[in-house]
Amino acid sequence: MIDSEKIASDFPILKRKINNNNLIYFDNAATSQKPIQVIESITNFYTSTNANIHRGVHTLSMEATNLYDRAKERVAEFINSTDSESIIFTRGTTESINLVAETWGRANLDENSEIVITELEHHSNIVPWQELIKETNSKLKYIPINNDGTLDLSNLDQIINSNTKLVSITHVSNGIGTINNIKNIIKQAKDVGAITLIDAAQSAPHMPIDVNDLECDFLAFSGHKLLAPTGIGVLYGNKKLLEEMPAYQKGGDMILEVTYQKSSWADVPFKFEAGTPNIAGAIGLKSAIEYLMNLSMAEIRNHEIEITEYAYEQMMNINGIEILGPENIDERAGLISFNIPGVHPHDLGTFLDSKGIAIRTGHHCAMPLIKKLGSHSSARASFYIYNTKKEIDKFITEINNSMKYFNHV
Amino acid sequence: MNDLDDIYQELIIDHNRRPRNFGEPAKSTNRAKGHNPLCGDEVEFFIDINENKIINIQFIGIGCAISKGSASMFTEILINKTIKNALQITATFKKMITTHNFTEDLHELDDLSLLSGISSYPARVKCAILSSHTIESAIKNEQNIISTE
Repeated sequence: MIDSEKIASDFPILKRKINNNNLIYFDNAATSQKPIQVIESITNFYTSTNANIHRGVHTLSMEATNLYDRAKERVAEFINSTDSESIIFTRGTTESINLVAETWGRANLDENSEIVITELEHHSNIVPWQELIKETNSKLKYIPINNDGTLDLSNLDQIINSNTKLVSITHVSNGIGTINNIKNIIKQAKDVGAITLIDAAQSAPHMPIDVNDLECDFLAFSGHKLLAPTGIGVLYGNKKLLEEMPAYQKGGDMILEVTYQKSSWADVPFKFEAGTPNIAGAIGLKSAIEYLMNLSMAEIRNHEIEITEYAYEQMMNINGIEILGPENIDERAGLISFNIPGVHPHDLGTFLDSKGIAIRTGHHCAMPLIKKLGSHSSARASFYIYNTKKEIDKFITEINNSMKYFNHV
Repeated sequence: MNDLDDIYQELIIDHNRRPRNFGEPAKSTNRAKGHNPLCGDEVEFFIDINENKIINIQFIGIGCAISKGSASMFTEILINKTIKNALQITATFKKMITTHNFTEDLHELDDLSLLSGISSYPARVKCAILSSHTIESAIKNEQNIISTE
């Protein structure tokens, strides 16, 4: 069992007052807050270990290198990969997906190729492919969604076919919280010889991830949504594929040998990490993952099921509320996207902020999805390890108050 | 943040709940659409201009209390105004909501001056500015869709 109140005491920001109220932070799908352990790991690095990595023979450089390499080992362990050399550090999910598009994509797609994504995707798993198909004359296809925001897999064997070269799908929808059955889709993709990429930005922070079991070729996620600082993210890649792929950015750190005429690349994963990396970010990520693994990802998911169900049931009692996404908690992550009658999401967001409650409003970087579901925008509450039922109670009370405030005669 | 009532004045909430001059008229000489791509708000103004004077102004659209309420208030204030006067009002309005502690005379803005509190809420300024941009575009009969971005 997760003790949310005890966990919350590790997060200095949660002691802040917002507009004279205790902060209730329900915008975790945008970014998570950071525990003192993560903050201190970064401070300690800059206070006592800071140096560049992989080149110095001095003590600080060796210590920094060791920490950076251990961060990769931790990430590998976190997603159950047996090989830390299959872990590439990026700036975040967006860069991870762009890396695949610009290296593997450019080298392997032509006018006969098809890329398959879903109608649930975040812009970061749409836009890189829209650009790539222009360059390669390939095609982009979408797995459609049902009205409840789950994937409509009835025509999957037509959508994923022998022309499919890449299937890139989100594990959890950031807009409405749908958890996709990615294992089945990965299997279908592999059956036709397609490469698979999983956008785990919204799942890696909240549930166990096992790349060994999933057998995906790529998996991308961001550090900042799982207690780590911004600017550090992960691309896991199938080692054999990574070795075949062209380099990404070129420059220092990613080379083996340079002459004035030509250069050769370092081994995977360094081939994909040009320039001095975000060392402090990697160390923060290591500390964040240790914090999460100490709680157990399975327990974190259980906690989120409990508070999401608790919130969902009470929200369903609000007259006229519309909740986007699946009803079944097994298909829903700890995130509720909704609209209430007579209160525009932006007004609700401002109202709740005045009570210290932070939610997201708008289209959540999933414009086509929100449109497809017949909305222009929605309000979104997304939960994490430090959120409590008591906070949900206050949230429900204030939603009801907002309806009185905006609809009074 | 200041008190919630600074931004949501009684009259704005009333205009949001019961928008005035809402709907597409049978006749209009000028029209323009506005769109805030970041939040999905949409507004369209229909203006009937005769001899440089606004003889009718109506709107349709969806949006938050600030964007819908301000659109509704604009229609009440701009009717029977000359084009020159209307453009002065939209310009002053924009200055008011983008300037903290705006001190100029707000007399010509009438009820719209109630929206001055929005200047303290940078996240909501675009909600208020959409109507004034779109009205200016309609008066000038520009053909492009106005965007806040």
